[in-house]
Formats: sequence, structure tokens, C-alpha cells
Amino acid sequence: MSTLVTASEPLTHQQMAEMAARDIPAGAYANLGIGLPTTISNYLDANHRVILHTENGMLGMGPEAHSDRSDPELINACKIPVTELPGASYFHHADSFAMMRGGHLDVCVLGAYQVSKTGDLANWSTGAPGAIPAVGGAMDLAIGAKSVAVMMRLRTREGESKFVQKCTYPLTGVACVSRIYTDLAMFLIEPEGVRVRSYHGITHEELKKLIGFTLLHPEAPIRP
Amino acid sequence: MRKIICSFPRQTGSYLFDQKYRAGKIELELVPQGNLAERIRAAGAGVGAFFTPTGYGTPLAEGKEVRELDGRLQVLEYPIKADFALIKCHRCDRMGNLLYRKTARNFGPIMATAAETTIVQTDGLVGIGDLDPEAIVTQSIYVNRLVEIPRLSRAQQPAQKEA
Repeated sequence: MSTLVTASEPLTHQQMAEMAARDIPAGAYANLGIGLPTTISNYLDANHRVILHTENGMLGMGPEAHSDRSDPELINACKIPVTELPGASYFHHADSFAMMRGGHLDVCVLGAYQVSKTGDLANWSTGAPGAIPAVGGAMDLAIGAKSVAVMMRLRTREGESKFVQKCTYPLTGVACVSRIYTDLAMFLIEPEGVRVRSYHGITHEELKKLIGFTLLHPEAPIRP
Repeated sequence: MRKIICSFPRQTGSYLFDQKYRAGKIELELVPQGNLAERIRAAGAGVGAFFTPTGYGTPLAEGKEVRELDGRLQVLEYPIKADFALIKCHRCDRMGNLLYRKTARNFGPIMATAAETTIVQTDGLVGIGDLDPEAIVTQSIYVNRLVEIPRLSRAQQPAQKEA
């Protein structure tokens, strides 16, 4: 898992999702955030035995429902009709959020506007004037899941890095993210610093220039 | 309406709140969804307040008391009580015992405990003893009024009646 990989092309969204899916341990209880992370479920096959949690009150969520089977009372957190897998269960919001807040979920993967080098996460507000603020369950997932990963494109439309020294957008959680899947590189945030696990169409020097802070040397020893 | 306490006040097709909020005519207390659920549960359970790590270090915890507990910085949160709760369930007996259906369970069970008066809309009213006592999710002690609206006639907007 810690082998350094260098690829000549940036990853597509599908390849990012596939990589994130491979890193979810078999049998884990996982929550996949709205947006890009939702696509990870396409790459979790039956051998994975990953049990998906949706914060509106279900464990054992199955794939999206086809229109003939869709049920308005069986939806995910994005209000998209889904299906139930054998062994699924339903519960109310306080129990659902206790699963996150109580540290019971093994993994969550969230989208982000920004992540800082110490793992601070900003993913609920850009502070844009006139926008209706909304937060949902992001803050509970950020502090509660045993492992918090982010899946995002590394650059904004303007070409700036979303992996930053210090977040400028309002925070979702402090020092909570431990891994980041992006189109250009996969990062591990470790106590010693940020390690790059793989590069995709970018060199170490180009990446350092883009994000603007020091990365652990790619050959630095892996933490046991 | 003067104020709304909500975690995600955005929905396709919702425009009244957006208009009022942008015009500064309604107050919004934005709450992380887990804090919202736990504050409702606290109200129903008679808990005076609680500390939680959710929201620490974010704008939503600004001005709130923080304490280090169990090695983590945690924020003081207070219960949310209501005068009225409007809840939808799947099956309800004539005593007010409730079953929900799939993800429509939602905030229903906790709001039923946190309100002075809980008003329940049900798809199907059944007799006392018809629900499995082991399966009841909300107990009749929390329920004050019932409105039966069968799923098929939902479009007809039937008048409310008290059971």
C-alpha cells in the first residue's frame, strides 16, 4: 500500500474512486460523502464486504435503485433512491450520528474545498456572500470516523492548490484528515509531515511548487 | 416564522426560506446534524447540556464553552425542546405506538420525545395489540395526537382529525 507509484497521466475521477475503494479494508463500515466520494461504491465488489452507512439512518445500503424499484422512503443522504442489502438496518438520526460521533465507523471519504497540511478540513462553506449556509453531517464525520479520507481534484478552476498550508475557508474539523486522493497525487498526512504515496502526471518538484510547502522526501522511511 | 434551527436548509424547490433569509427576515441557527440530533435527544431525555468534539475549531462553535475531556477539545451544547413536533410514521396503533418505514424514520423518534405536544401522521392506523411490542420504535407515552392519511389518498389533502 505504501509503494511509491509514478504515473505519466493525471487520474480520472473513476481511477481516483478505484484507488480509494482499494484502500477501504475488507469488512469495514464506511460512509461515502456526497459528490465524488459517492462514486467509490461502484468499485466495492462483493469480496470487499464493505458495509455502507448513510447518515439519514441506514446500514447496509445497496446500489442506487432503478426507477421501477425506487421507493421515496428508501433514500440516501443526497435523497437519491437506493436499495437495501441483506442484513441492512434502519435507525433514527441520533443513533445514526452516534455511529459517527462514537467512533464506530471505520472509514469515511469526504469531498473538500481545502485540506491543510496538518489535516484541517474545509468542505461546507466557501463563505460566499448570499449563499445559504448548510453543513449537514460533515462535522460529525470529520471528528468521528476512525479514518477520514478526502477525495478531490487537487487544483481549483483557477489552478490553485486545494491542499494548503492553512485553510482560508471556514473549517469543518481540525487535524482530522489522514489521506487525500487527488487527480495528481495521493497524500498521506502523518505526524512527521506529508508523504506522497503516488504521483500522477506530475513530478515531486512540480507538486512541491504547486502546493507551496515541504513534503517528506519520497524515499524517507515509511512509519512502521 | 421568526427563526429556523437546521443543519441543511437547502433543498431543490425550496424558495420561501431562501427569500426570507436573503432579505434578513428570518434567523438561521445552523447546527451540525449530529449536534442537532443529540440536542433533540438530550431535550427528550432530560439532559441539561453535554460536551461534544463536533464543531470544535469551526465557526459553528464560536463563542461556546470549550473543555478538554478525555484528551479532546469539546464544545458545550444545550438541548433543543419544542412546543410541537410534527412526525410521520408508517403504522400507528390507537394508543400512539409507532412504527416507521425505512429511511423515513429520520428525526421522528427523537422529536417525539423532545416536544410538549407530538402530532403524528400515519399511513395506517391499527388496533391496540396489533403491533409487535418488541418492534415498537416510539412508545405511546410520547404521542399526543394522530392523523391518519392513507398513502393512496395523499394527494387529496384530507382534513385533520384528532384521535
